[in-house]
Amino acid sequence: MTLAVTDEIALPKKRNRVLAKFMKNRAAVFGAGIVLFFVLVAIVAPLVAPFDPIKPSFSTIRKAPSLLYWFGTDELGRDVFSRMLLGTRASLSAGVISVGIAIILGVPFGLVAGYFGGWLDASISRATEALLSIPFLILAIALAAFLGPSLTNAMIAIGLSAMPIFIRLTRGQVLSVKAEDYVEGARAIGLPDFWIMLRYVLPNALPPILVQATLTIASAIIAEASLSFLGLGQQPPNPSWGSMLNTAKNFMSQAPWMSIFPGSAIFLVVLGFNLFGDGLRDALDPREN
Amino acid sequence: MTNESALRPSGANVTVAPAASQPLLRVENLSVRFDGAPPGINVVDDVSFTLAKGKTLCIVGESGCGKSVTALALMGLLPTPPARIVQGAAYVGDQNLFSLSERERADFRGNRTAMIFQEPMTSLNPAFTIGDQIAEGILRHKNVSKAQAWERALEMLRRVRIPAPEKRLRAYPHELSGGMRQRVMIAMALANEPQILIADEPTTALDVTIQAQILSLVRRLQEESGMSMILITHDLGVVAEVADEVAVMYAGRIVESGSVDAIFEDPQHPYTIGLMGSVPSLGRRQGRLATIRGSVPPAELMPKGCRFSPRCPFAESRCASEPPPLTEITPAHSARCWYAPLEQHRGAAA
Repeated sequence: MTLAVTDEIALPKKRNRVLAKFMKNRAAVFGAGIVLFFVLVAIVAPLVAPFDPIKPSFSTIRKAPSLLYWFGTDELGRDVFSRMLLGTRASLSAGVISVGIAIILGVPFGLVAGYFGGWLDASISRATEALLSIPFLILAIALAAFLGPSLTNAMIAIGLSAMPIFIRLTRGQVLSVKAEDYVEGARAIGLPDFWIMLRYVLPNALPPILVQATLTIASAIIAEASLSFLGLGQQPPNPSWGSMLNTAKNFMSQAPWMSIFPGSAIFLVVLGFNLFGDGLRDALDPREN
Repeated sequence: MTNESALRPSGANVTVAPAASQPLLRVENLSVRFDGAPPGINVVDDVSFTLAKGKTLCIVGESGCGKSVTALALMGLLPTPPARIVQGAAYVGDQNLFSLSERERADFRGNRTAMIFQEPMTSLNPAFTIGDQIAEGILRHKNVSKAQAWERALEMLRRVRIPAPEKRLRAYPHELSGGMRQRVMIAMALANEPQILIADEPTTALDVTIQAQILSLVRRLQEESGMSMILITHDLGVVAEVADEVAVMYAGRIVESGSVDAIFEDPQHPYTIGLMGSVPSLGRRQGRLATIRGSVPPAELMPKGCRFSPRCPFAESRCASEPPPLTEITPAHSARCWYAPLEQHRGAAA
């Protein structure tokens, strides 16, 4: 052994670095806490709800918040707190599932467009731009109205409306990752295109997509609330925050608690996802240290 | 060693052992054009060379002279468009690389021809471990199990002298330094025992002590395996150290080629002479370090004749209008200059 290898340096593990950076960001941890809290609420909702959220009780119509009915009761005498607990499920799953749909459809399109370029890229990109030219909520409303009013259809409509953002983001990421030396290196060892796309391009293009996903969940929750508010989402008697607001608007002056609490919940969970997403973006950004 | 036979190049390649005189790789009249360039101006223009088995050819030239494009063309990695091979052939045995289908090219890459790149810091996939990436290339070309591929990857890390190879196999690229990563790149390139290794400025991004280590490592591995190497560099020190043959490129053309001794002792082309003169050396120097005046002309101003003529101290009117032929000085040495061989034209030219 004539060669002494002296050029060894130890760097801290990347994952730990990202986590440490995230934990240092107080707002991000706060956001993650809010999100976690609502996820827990959604899971345990049926177990902890003090009253039946569906069954009307005509002896307790529009009661103000009290020790018995923490958030008051609605126009059919149902406990607003119990309905909100159950509504968490509709809102969170609408956010997560619709963004899931947007990612599952959008990322492959963006990947193919960015990687292969040419006419494939041109046609996918033009179609994406056409979709992007329609405002997000208007498109979601149109699709939901077309598909028919139900929570599932609302999720599909929101997912399809959010898809173009992911196509565009993925395509841009792929274009920059594709120019990396390791992608050329992969070609130089003769790896096939689909393999390079899945193992070399996609994992390295993913971080900004994850960040965008958390931020889009926030908009999707608002979109679900809007669709439900318009009667195109969750159908009565099942609760969702948006549909609760829809009925609450008629009693704004007589029973403000009916709108204050679901409205605050939407505000909080959207804030949580936004803070979480921002923190994730900063933590994953290698330039800031 | 149960997996040894599986890891050798497939039977066909072994039996076509070329006669000693026949070169392993023969590049003939290779021209590469970029879309949008002025007509007749190719980034690589009419380049021919041969590479003998077990030998090292250094392609020397300044940035943008077409040396990397030549390498990428040979690997089949040119970005098309905008780059296109407009003429030429590259024979390995009697197979013309340029007439193979894209699929057959991919079977060649990383298997019979391999390449290492200039930037070790960015040439490894940050998302997977070193072992994963070396094994990947082996699994692509050899019919072996995953365990055998990892075994082979470990053996390769040992061969490129990486300390604690078992541990490094499971390390991610960002946990290694530049020199270590270049060793990993070499291990990846050589894992399938290629006949030809193309190294595109493999030491440029490394600091000087590591450069020497990597060069001697590559040279030793070459001796062990008997492969041929094309080393692309602008560092004449590296050339003197590892080359058997040298091809000097200027603005897309080979202006001089020959054995390393011939090039260093008796350079014939004014550009080569200029290059030799501009190498700083230890000890006293009289006056300023010599330079070559001017810079490479942009494509649209490229002269029709000798492309070096605008910067050449010896140029006369004929040089700019008529391209000089490749003149043989000795059987192993030729230069593309109207004045070659120099001795017959101007006594004390250099």
